[in-house]
Amino acid sequence: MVDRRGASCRGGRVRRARRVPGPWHRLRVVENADASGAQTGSARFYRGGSRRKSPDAARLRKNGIRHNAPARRRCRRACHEVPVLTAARTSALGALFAPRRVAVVGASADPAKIGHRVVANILYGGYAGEVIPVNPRGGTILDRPVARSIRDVEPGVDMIVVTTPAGTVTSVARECVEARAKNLVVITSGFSEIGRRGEEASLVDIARAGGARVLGPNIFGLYSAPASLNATFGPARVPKGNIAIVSQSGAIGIAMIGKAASENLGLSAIVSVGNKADLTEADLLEHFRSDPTTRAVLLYIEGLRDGERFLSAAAKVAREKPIIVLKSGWSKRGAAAAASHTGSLAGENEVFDALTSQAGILRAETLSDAFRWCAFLSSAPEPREGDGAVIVTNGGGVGVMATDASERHGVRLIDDVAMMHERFDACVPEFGSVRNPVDLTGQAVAADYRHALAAAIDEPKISSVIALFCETAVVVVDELFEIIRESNERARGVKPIVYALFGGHAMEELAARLRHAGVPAYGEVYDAVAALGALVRHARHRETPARPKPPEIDTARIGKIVAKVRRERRTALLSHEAFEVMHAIGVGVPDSALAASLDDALAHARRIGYPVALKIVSRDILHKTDAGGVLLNLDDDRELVDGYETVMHRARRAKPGARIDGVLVTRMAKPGVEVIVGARRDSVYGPVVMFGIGGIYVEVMKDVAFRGLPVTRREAAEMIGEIRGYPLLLGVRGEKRKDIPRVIDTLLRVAALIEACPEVTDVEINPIMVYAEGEGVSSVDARILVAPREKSDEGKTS
Amino acid sequence: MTAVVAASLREGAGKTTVLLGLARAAGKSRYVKPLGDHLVYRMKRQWDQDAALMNHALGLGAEPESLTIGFEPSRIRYTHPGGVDEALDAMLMANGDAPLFIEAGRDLAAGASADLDAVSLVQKAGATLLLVLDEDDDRVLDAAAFVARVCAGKAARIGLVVNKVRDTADFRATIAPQIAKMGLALWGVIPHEPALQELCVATIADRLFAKVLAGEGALTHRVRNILVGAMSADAVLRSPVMKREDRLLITSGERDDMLLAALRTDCVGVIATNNTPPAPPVIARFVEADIPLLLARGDTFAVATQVHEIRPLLTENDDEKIEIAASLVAANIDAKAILDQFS
Repeated sequence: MVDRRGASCRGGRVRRARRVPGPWHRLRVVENADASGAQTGSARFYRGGSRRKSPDAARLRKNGIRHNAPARRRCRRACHEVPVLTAARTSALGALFAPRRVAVVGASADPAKIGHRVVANILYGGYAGEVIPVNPRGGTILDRPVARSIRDVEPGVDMIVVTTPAGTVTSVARECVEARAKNLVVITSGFSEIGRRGEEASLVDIARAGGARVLGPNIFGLYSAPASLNATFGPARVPKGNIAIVSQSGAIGIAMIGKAASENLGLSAIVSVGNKADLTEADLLEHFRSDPTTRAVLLYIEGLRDGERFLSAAAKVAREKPIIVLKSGWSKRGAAAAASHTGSLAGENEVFDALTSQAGILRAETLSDAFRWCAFLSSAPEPREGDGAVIVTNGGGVGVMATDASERHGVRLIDDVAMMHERFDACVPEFGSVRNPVDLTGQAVAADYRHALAAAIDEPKISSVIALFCETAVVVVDELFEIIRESNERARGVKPIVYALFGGHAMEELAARLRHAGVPAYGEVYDAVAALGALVRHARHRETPARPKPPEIDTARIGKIVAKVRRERRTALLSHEAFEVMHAIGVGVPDSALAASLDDALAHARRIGYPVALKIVSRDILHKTDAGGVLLNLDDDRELVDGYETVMHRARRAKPGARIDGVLVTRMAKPGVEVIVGARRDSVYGPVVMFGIGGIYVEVMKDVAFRGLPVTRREAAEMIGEIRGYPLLLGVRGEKRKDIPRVIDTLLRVAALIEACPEVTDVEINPIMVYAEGEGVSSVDARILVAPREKSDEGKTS
Repeated sequence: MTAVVAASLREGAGKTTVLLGLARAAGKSRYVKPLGDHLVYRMKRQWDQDAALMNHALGLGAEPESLTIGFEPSRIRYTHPGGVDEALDAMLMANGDAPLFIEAGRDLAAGASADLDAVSLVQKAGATLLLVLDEDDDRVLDAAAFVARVCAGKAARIGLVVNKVRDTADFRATIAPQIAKMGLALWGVIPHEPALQELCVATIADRLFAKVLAGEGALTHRVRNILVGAMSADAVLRSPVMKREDRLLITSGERDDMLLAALRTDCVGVIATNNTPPAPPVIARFVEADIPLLLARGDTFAVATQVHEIRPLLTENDDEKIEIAASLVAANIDAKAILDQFS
């Protein structure tokens, strides 16, 4: 029974009727839904509200397409048989990674076509759900009946893979939406990557209007291990495991499948995002966060569209699972190539590096590194409470190399001499060393290693172990294999251990055998330590404290200033306005006043006290220094009179007709270490803060560090410690240590400003004079830009 | 006291050049510029660039600050609340009774609110008015007629020198008779001299407030051709401008390809724009080659516009141009007619 609102109740379920667009418009679809409105089953078709067999069932049968009812039964059976499908559908993208029904539009009987390969991979990959090839020619493909149109398919397909030519994709998308598709996986290329942004935007608009999401276009497809679904045109066999790969490049993604197999690495998913018209890495990261199968995520990125969202999602995921990123397009030419490849901006490499690191993402430089890290991080326990790592070696040289590598990759080495003696004296000969690295010497036999590794694994003060083996005459390879496997088992779940085997063919083979057995064994010391370093960084990120409350700033006062600037159709605050904002955020600036005349300037200078600085204030002169509009260290009235005349004269010369608002008279700040603090809304990554050595050579020195927002006090301190000029703040040549806490405070306040005031786009305080500890800082000059006033803002008060 | 006040209707007509030639022809002479308009501020001292030039070229031996009362009328009014007469008298009377050449402000009205405009100076000094016009101003007859009308009775005598004339013979044949009909003396027609229109790299660096990253020893190089490098390096190398001599290249600081192309083709200087310093190895190459590499803050368009607007002034450091200017004036004006005013 259908009620007037188009819904009926039976057995506690609500049955909603709705009109179906397109050729089915005379039919009504009744969805089985629970009381909350969630769809729970498939749909049935009615004409005029009365229950009746679908009029097209016969036609579908005639065309070789199975009737809906068997399809539904198959689907239910599949869902019943594969409970993991339901479990994997917990996230918003559940239907993408665990679809119950998959259609391939553009399916082909020609084995050379992508449309054929996708169908074949799905069918032969073990997928248990319903597979519907779609091609206007009909017939069968791989013994499956082919629907002539997606309109002929029972609505509610979870995933539709589109492989038709670019020119047809938007019309296909329209039909898919009419068929209530939940996800479109658009393999077809020829969109924004070649400049056809309009068509790509239309595709997304059509899909979103129908409540569907789009993966792609310009991709190789998607593989989901929980669903045994290989909806790609890549290799037919994908090893199952717990690494999820997201690739912006189709070719690299396909190559990664092969590489994973050769590295004995199993995948929980591999997704090609291509042009990222709708679904991006951020959406996928959020899915993998809740996906129980995935233990580590590997991303290949060429460029980002919404870096801010990506970083936010990554920061959350990285607290639970390691994310390893391989980013290309960091060189100028590479960035240009990446932009033309996928139609997205690469962003500045330094900024990407800093911000991804802050989000807990581990950046690998090579594909090999990325795979090694994935394999290690997805299986190794995190370093337990302890004082650091120990290196166990039979060669002094490789021990030194491992020590160097540890410093480079942030692996702290334990330094407890007493403990080391107690633990290792028994297995180290007299001419060896029990200091870290523990040198068993070249005479070490298998038993020595067994004892030393057991001691290292059992010692609670040791957080991780780096075991190095140089090929010697006394080492028997088979024995070594057993010892390493044994020690790896002993360490499993207890503490991370990595192995580096150094030598000839026998050692290389041994390393390969060990890797095949799931042991983190490497042929290079640096590779072993780099993998451990990645794990240490991941663990450190997980311990990063939650963000404390940001410092309080006077947003109302800032809002008034910004509103006035925008009302006057300016995008840059004048010097005195910028100083007022500095007051509002609690950043100290020297005493100053705006003079409208020479008399005013003299009066202000006498009140403030000499020496003073003069700065031209003009809305038409953005760069005061370049117009000669700044004079420093004016010591008396005479110098002030000359200076005033000079800055006014120069300003008029530099920009005839410029509106001059006055001259800012500022107390000269006493000398200190000059630093720069800035913030901006990056077009790729969103709000970013910057710290570095300041002054007039800031662009030349380029000694700066970046972080994304929100930024914690600890991260601000790390930024300061990262720059090359950091020793200047620690005090050099007998100078006192500088007031670093106040610099951190200034950084956090500037971050709070750009976070709290969306109209503020750029802030740059340069220089900030930093004085001795306890004496604070003084912001000598500040430049603040705001977003231009839009026409839509007309009539608003701000 | 007899004096000549050089004035013009607009900036850049050539007052300093003409006075330089005249003063050289007069032998011992004096020079003042009561209202400065090319301010130089260094080490908390300020002076006029033209005054410094004349001080050097004429060997006056004065402090250049002493040749100017001020630059901005507001400041002059502030520092001389009772008027400038006393200061001006002292300036005009200083250094004996040698012929005095007074340079007025950038145009006829400049300094009027502080009584330092050209007409006030003529009246206070009882001087002859020497009006310098440049032929670029196609209203040269309008200008002459206007000056004759406005200054009639205020100057002991009014004479004209027309500067930067492309075709002096044609000018003398067509324009000069009409000037004579107005009752104005035409004391000289000076031809256009391209060498005087050239900038040197140092002037450009100075006016742009640019940082000199390399080639400080070669800042005196003259610039005769300017190329904005917005295309590919290959296209630049093919550009006909790159075949000309004494080229200055303006390009964005991150265009390493363009900067290296400039090195290969012996440019006299490069301006790296957008406040983006080139890569250190590129800067090192410029240092090795001793080619000026300037870092400017503005974008390429803004910097090119600024360079385009820089007036090629004579400077005290450019003796070669000083001699060219002095010779040019001496050869093309009736110095005797003018200097007779002093007899």
